[in-house]
Formats: sequence, structure tokens, C-alpha cells
Amino acid sequence: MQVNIEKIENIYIFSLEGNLDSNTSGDLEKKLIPAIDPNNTKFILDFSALHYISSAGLRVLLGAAKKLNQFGGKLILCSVKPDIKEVFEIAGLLPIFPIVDDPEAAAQKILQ
Amino acid sequence: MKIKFWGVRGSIPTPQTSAQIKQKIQKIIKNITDKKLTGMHEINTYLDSLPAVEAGTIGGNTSCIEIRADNQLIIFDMGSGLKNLGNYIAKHDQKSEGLDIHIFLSHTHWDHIIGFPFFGPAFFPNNTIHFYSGHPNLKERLEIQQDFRFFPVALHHMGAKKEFTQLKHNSSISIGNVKISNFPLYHPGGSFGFRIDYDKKSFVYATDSEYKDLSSNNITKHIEFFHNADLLVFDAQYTFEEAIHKEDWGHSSALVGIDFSIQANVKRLALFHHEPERDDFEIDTILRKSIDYRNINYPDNNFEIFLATEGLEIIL
Repeated sequence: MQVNIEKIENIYIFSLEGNLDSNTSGDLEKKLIPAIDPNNTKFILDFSALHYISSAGLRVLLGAAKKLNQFGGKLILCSVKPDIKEVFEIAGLLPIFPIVDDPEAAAQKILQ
Repeated sequence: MKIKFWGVRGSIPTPQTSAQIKQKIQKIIKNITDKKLTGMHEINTYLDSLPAVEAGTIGGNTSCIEIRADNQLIIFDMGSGLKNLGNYIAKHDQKSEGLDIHIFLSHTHWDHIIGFPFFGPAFFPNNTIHFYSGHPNLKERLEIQQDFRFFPVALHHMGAKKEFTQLKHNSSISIGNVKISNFPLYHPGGSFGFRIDYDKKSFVYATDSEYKDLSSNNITKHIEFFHNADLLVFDAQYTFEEAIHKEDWGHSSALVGIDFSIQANVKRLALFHHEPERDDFEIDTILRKSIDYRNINYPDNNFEIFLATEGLEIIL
């Protein structure tokens, strides 16, 4: 899985490409979790090139949400394929992760 | 190898309530009316076609599984389901010269030991109960459970001979030709999974376990232990979301079991240790969502996922 990271003003954008599972979740965790601190609390995850997410990937995202919660931060998902959205629904995680259509909508929502 | 579930519920025995039973009766009556079934033969055929969740129960007794292999009688855990298993053994197996009964304990939390004071075969002096545990001081733990302050019959008043073996972690022992391996699991106070290999078939029992780090480096040993299992009984007490919020409570979810099963090439996955706060229909919803998850993430792998249900027998 490729993780491309951009920072525009004070918003981090992580674009994930490939599969987020037990083989790749550790790599994302190493990049995502340390990036969160009291000065960096706005994160967009762009899933447009993500094909698949397993429980290991969900676990990392929850870890990020939990850490962000300590700082009153936000994590928005965008461009999520219907199958992946259904995985979030099955896992009961839709109330935790706001999902919007595209990065622009994510930026709008995170700045609200 | 034959496997039978005598207790499948987690944490505490959970009898069905009158309201839950009434709800099932109403649903059945409505279906019989809608289908215009009349004669008792038609109605009985319909009832026989229904799953346990609709016409019976998933079960309210806590963890207990019977395994028969190579003419050996092996039991995993002594939850409240052990009482009914004991009644069955006393009726169908008991011999005047006595029985050897091998009991493996994942751990000694109440829901895994409370059946023993009611285990009929333990009162037959000619029987020998062989206990195996990864934990130390098992005899003392069972004696405390039957201290007079908590139960009127002391352990030593149960007449069967009792032998206690503390298992070395990650080791294997043989009973006849049945190989039984153990594997430490993450749970408050520790828990152990067991794997039976017999006659080219394998059965893994992995309950009361939490998996906090699901990255491949951390789960390799679990995958090896589960590898190629014909049946994996897995702790699915929580939904994925609940498991996150109940960190360090020591339980897991079906989704994690499905991902492990794929990686370990497990043939059949039984969801086990059902949450006592859920009724049968809610537990069945977890099964249906689990199957959806498998279909979405692993469309080319239709390995079987099912609910461990009291009374269910499986032949491997």
C-alpha cells in the first residue's frame, strides 16, 4: 500500500493506495499516529485509490480517532468506495468517522 | 473427531426471558398463519426447518465443549454447560470400572469453572478426572470455588480421583493418539487456546482473547497456531466497535476472527462466547453482518461462518 502525505496549511491529507490490512496497517500507523499532536489536529484520509480495508486497518484508524479526540481534532474520510463504506457500517464505525464525497467536501467539513 | 457444544455464552449463564420466548412464539405463529399451514405434519416439518435462533435458542450456558476422538473423552472448559454434559456422560458412558475424563481449562474465570460442582461424573469414585491448565495452582483455585462459604460440597467430597497437570506454555501433550497443543492468549489473568490434531483433522479453541495489535508482525504466532484448522472456535463476544471501547476487557469480534481465518486458511469458523446482553436475534444479526464482511472483503473464499449453538454437533 502506498501512503502519500500532503500538508496544506494546517490540514494533513493522507491518500491511501492499495489494500489496508495486517500487512500494511503497521506502515500507516507509523506515519499517521505520530503526526497527530496538539498542533496538528485536522486530518483527511483520501480513500479514492483504496481497494480494501480489513479489521487491522480499521483498528489503526480508530487509534488515530482516539488520539485526535484527546486534542479535540477531526478526521474525515473522503472518496470511499461503496464496499469499503459498507465495511465501516458492518463494523459499527459510521458514527465515528464522517464520510464525504471528495477532498473538497472534506476540507469544507474539517474547517467548519 | 466429534465436537459438541454444551455451553456457548460468555461471562454469565443467560436463560431466555419470557418476553424473548413470547417474541419467538409470535413470529412462528405469524409465519404458520401466513403460510396457511394446517396439519401437525406440515407444522412440524416447518418447525424442523427453522434454525435454533428462531425455534429454539442459541443457548444460555457458559463455555463447555465435548470432544470425542480415538475413544478419548476430552472437555474444553467447565462453564455451566458442563452440568448437562455430565448428565449425558452419566447416562450414556458411565461404566462400573470407571471413566477417564480429560478436562482442559482455558482459564479459571467463573464462567469457565462454575459447572464443575454440578458435574455428576465427578461424584463416581471409580472415575478419574484429569485436569490440564496453563495456570498454576489449579487444584487450589477449584477448592476455593467450593469453599463452604460459597458451595456446600467441598472439592474433596466429590469422589472421583483428580489429577492436575500444569501445562508448559506453547507445549503439546498426547492422550492416546490425540495431540493437544496450547497457546497463551491475551486476557485479564491470562487465557490459553487449545489445538487438537487427530487423524489428519484439526480443531482450534481460542476463546477469551483480545487482539490489540492486528499488524502482521504481531499476529504471526496466532496465524501459525490456527493454520489449516478444520474448525476454529473464536471469541466473538463483541462487535468490532465494542471491542475497541472495551479495551483490556479481554474479548474479540467476529471481524477479527474472519481476517485470521483467511490468513490461516481455516475451513470453518464458529463464533463463540456470545455476549449475555444480546438476545438470540441480535446475535444472529452479528452472524449475518459477518457473512456480509466475508463476502465484501473475500469474495473468492466462501469458508463457512456459523454461530456456536448449544447442542450443535460437528464431525471432523
